[in-house]
Amino acid sequence: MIKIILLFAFLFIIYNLYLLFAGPKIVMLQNQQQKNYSFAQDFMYENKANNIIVGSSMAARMNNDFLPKDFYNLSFSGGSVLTGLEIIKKSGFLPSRIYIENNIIFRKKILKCWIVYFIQYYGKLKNIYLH
Amino acid sequence: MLFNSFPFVFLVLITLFLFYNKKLLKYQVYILIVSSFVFYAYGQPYLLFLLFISASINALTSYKVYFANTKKKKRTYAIFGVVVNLATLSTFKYSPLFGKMVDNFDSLDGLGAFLLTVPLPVGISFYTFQGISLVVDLYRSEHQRECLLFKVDKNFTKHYTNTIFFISFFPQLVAGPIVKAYQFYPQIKTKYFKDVDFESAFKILILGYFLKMVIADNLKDQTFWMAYPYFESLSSLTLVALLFGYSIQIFSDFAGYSLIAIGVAKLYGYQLPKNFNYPYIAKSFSEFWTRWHISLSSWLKEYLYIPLGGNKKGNIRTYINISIVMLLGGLWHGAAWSYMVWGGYHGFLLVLEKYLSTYIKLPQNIFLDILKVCVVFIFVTLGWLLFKLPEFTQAVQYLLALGGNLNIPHKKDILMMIFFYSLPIIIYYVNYIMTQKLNKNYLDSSFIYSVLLFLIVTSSGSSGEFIYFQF
Repeated sequence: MIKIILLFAFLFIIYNLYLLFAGPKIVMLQNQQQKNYSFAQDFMYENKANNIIVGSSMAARMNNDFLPKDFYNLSFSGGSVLTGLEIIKKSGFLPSRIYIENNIIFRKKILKCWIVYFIQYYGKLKNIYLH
Repeated sequence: MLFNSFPFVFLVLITLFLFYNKKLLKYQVYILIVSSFVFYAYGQPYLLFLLFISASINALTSYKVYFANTKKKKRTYAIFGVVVNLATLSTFKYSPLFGKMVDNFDSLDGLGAFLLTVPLPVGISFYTFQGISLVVDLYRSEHQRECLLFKVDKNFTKHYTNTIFFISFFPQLVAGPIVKAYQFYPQIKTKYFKDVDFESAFKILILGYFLKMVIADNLKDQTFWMAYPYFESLSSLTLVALLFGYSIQIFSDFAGYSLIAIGVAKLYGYQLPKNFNYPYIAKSFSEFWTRWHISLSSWLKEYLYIPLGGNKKGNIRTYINISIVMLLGGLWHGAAWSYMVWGGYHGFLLVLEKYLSTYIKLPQNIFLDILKVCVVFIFVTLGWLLFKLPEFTQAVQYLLALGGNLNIPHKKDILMMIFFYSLPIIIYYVNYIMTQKLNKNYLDSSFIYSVLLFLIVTSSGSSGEFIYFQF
């Protein structure tokens, strides 16, 4: 047992040193979840667009090349409007406009969530547009 | 509480510390009972009450079975015990199925809607089967003195404690292996730290966690695309690869869980039965069922197939018995007709194999053996489709897409990931064959286990529930 733990520790240190000094690039993301994480990170660190689209996989499938320059498509496969809104909220950046794509708005839970989110943004939106 | 969660590791370590504390040795059983209740209540606190009631009824009926004066009384108590366990299982597991059958849901106040809301307690299929095993084992051992398997303590309090412990022992509580009473009760005694084979337990745990967290959890993110309607837009080759991947995933998931359960129990000095023995190496369907979920198939054999008459009452009766056992075994897996169809499918394969084996005698050679292994694997893998897609029509659509989507481009990333994460399992099986031939296990080295541990830490997939938890 001790031998296994020592060998593991050795491998783990070598691996971390490799990550630290060689700085390998990620060449492939394995699954949707990893892709979504990576996509969210890109948005957090790189976004400058003032028009943001949030939605489900339906909006995520859009060809972004056709979008104007000031647009950012923050829609997630396997996610929803709420995923995008949560990330915008955490990024601390309030865009001028948020475009939403939702195909299941008539579910009670979703409607309830809408109200909660709307209230959170209401104050800021009011300041921007009514003063 | 999931085996691959930090609260579980914390619980195991705290329990281990208290369990082997010299001052607390006489309370070992109580310590494990409390830990088991914490483990169970962590996710479903109110359903702990059901577990407790079920275990208490089993303790009482088994005591009565053992100490009743007449054979008639013993029989009555045994029947009562079995019926209570089956009633508990039916009520909590199959209510939604009955609900769908009796109601067309015109209103949400009907019986059907009520039955749909009955909660499914985790592990109910396992602990009720253990309860039946206890009552039946004691009835048999008294009924046939030569089969005396274990003794019940005359002191009811002690028997009650042992039974609560047997039913709720946390490593095997929620998804087996299903431990039979005669395998467990003789093990209940004071355990000492010096007697535990920590090296072996540690290796079993590493292998179990590797199978679950590295193989099954990573494959899960690929086989996600087998769901409806995603599979409709995938190529035939991708669909074949996904089916293969799911077959590897379900093996890794459940075999991994069983190994973790066996490893954790070993830390406390208890031996749980082996649950998987390289099932995909089976050369026949009957052999497959001696290698896959061994504790369930042996339970069904001992407590259902043999009491039905087994193979002692002629060929036709044998075929009927096999079909009944497999249909019920299928339904045991879940409250949906597709599980029964899955059981029926395996029953049909077993009956067909048995029928053909009386007329066709194949010669023994390696090529034929490989062909047999491939045939069994292909049919078993096709059967898993009903696990992944319990809606029967979707499973049929998947097969149609598999045959029809020949011109759609392949998803290379999915193909590569499935190959990559299935490869260790292929090596695992090849090593087993090599070990049998050469009498030397090349993978049983500290270096290999350290690599597995390294992969658990660095390459685990996103955490997912064990597939068999739902059963």
